[in-house]
Amino acid sequence: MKFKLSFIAIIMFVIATQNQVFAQQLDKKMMSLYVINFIKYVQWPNQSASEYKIAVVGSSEVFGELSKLSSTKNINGKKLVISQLNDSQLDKIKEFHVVILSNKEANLIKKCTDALSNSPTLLITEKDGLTKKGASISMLIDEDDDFKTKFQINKQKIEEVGLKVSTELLALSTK
Amino acid sequence: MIKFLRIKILETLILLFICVITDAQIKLDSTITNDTTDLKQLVEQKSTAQFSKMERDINQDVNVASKKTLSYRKTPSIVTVITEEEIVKSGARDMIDLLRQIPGLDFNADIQGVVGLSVRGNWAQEGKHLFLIDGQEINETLYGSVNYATNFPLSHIKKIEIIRGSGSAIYGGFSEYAVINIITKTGEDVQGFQTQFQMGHTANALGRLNASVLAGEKIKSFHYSFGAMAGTGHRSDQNYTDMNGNTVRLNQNNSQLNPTYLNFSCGYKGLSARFVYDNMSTRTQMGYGNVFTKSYPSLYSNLLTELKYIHTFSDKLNITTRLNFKNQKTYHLESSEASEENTAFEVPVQRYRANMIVSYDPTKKMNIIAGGEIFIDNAINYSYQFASLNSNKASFTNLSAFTQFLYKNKFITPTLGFRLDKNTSFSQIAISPRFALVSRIGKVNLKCMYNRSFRAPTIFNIALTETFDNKGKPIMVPETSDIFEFEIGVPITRNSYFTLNLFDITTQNPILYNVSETDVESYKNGDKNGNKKLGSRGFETEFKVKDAWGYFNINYSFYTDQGMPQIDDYNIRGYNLEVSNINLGIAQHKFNLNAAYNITQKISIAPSASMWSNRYAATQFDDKGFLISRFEPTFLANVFVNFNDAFNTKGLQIGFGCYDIFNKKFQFLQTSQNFIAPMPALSREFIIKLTYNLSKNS
Repeated sequence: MKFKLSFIAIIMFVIATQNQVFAQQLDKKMMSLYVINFIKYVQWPNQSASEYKIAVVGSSEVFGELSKLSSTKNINGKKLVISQLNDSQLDKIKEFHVVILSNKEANLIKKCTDALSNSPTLLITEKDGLTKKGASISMLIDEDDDFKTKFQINKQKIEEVGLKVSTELLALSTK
Repeated sequence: MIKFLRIKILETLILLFICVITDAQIKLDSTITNDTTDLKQLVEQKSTAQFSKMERDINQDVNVASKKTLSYRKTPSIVTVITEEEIVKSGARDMIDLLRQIPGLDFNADIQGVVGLSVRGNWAQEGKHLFLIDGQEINETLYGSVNYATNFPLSHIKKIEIIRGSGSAIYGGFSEYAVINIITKTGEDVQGFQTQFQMGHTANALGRLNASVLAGEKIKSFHYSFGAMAGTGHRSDQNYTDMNGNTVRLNQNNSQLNPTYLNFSCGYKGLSARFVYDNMSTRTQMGYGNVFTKSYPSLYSNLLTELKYIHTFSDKLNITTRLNFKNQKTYHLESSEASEENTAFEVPVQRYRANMIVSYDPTKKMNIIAGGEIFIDNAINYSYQFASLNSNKASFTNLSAFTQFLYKNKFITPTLGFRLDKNTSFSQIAISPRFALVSRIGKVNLKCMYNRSFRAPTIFNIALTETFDNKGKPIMVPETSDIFEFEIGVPITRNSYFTLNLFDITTQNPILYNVSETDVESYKNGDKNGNKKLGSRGFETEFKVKDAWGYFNINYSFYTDQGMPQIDDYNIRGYNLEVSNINLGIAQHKFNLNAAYNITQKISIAPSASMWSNRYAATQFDDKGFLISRFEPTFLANVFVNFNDAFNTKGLQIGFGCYDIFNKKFQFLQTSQNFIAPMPALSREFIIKLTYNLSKNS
């Protein structure tokens, strides 16, 4: 009896702790290249700005990778300006063209969507599945397809905030 | 003993929870650079993110369960994969060492020193499990059995995929309880040359002495591989006591196993050919009932050929066509070697097979497989006439059609399939449906499966049947099994994975073998008392850890026949023993452990152990009938140390090991009330392996 109870306890413990294992491991260099591509395939309503402002919310190596890229690359003739914000600075995210929500801060998704309201900002999350909670794009690793890095798009949300997304980008996204 | 086992399992699991805290990872290959900015290129790139070895393992491709490549955790069967790394590091001597580590699998005694497989408490030797090597069916066609000996060079194996459960919907009549699929290294895997020498010795006899070579290469679209092995050894070095109390020592030339093996394959684009020659020449003194007065040769040979063409019409559609020819001899004893106590058995048998499978992916998530197969079995009995056929020739034809639908979804993957078989040896059409749901809730993987499997009567089942219809035509109906399974798989940490599966098997119309005291063989559906059903239920659980330091696998299996129908010959009811809910010869509780620890980058040590609870088997026969004896719990422990790049020579591996460290002298027990006495295995054996790899890949 003691054995059976212990056995059941172990299984319950295992199931209860599932969120702590198998964290999605995105390659940050690839992630940053994706971000640059997303910018290429999205149109903002006001194209007159001389730079693309990108914010990374929370601690993520993507910030470092994007910073490196920004020193050597521009997109459509515009510079990339990269900033890092913490959870107390969410009121500023409206000012950015692109906001990247780090995996560690994925629980801030609701606050981010509330803060953005209908601002023309592309909200990208490192954690998968957050397009259902208002993100524009969520990254994911497809374990069933040789661990390729893919992305999901919330087309409705993107268009609601006044952004235009190319059909090519939509075609390459994962449902 | 059981209490001790339970406590040890619990302690081990708890310790592992505490200990498994490191997260060693492997880096995947990637060609990503800062200049890779094209989106189309990016979505085709593997992530360079770091994954643990275990994450890679549970997502590795498995083909055996569905013919459609799926990841291990999504494949619609209870599957175990033994990797090349595990084979090398474990130092396993032969297939028995490897497969007995799989939960639910065990080995038992057949006649004349043959060792066969049992699955989940059921004897699975005669046509009840399918053994494939590179897709070639090893089961002999007369009885459907497989002789597990020393005949396959383990160093040539890339991986082994094992289904515990039915494969009938895809593979047909020999895959009722399990499928074992050996996949050897291709030319691309070898890219050069490999040779191995293995020697093992017990205190009393040479355990094994064999040498093997493997060569292969891939040059553009052409590939070839060639493997060969030859050797000698013994099944046992212990005393064998027959059912009448006569004893013989098996350390001379009376339990020899002399394997010869060739496996050649080549291919160009979609066309490939394979030739396998597996010859096991044995000597045995273990007669049925009585020890023979001298040893006799007994031959088990397989000659298998295949021509295969995969025509790929598009990414979505391909057609695979296979032509196979199989020529076999089994339990073969030449008349010139035979005597009155061991009569000649010369029955060569051939199987001609044509098979076509269409695989179509209407969408990325959907796969449909459909196919057909025909095979013709021909046997000539040069020793005597087949009793029920009034002829020394037997010929049967089997026609099959099968289909399978699979829908890959992030949340649930259903698989639906069925197979129809019509054989000229039985009047009914055998229908084998399968239904599986594979799901993922969070990180928990769930599988729920139902299979109706069948076992086709083989040539000897028909030819020696005890049952005839009104017109004197032999009657044998296909044996069928309903198998329900459920599995939960949980990643405990990034380096560890836990599985628990439940099973319930009911077999109808079992085809049962019987040999009378006067050596007359016969078959019938059901036993002599009219029982026509048998079954088992139980569970298997496994915990695996894999990390940079090595790996650790622990598993436990349990079965019972409580509440299940039973065949009198197979169970121990009616013998007034302390238990009544288990089958003869097969332990109700079995525990396995195998691990490898990398002492340095080049040196690993691999302990392994198996523990069986009480087993019961017939040991004597007298006027009162069979005497059923209890065999106390058995514990086998082994260790193997492997040195890579030994003596600073790249590609040179040297391994030393000791098997059955405590010299427990394991016995293979028979699984029914018959005249096969318990057969001793080798006692403690010390082995050495020398392997040299000259590969462009290394």
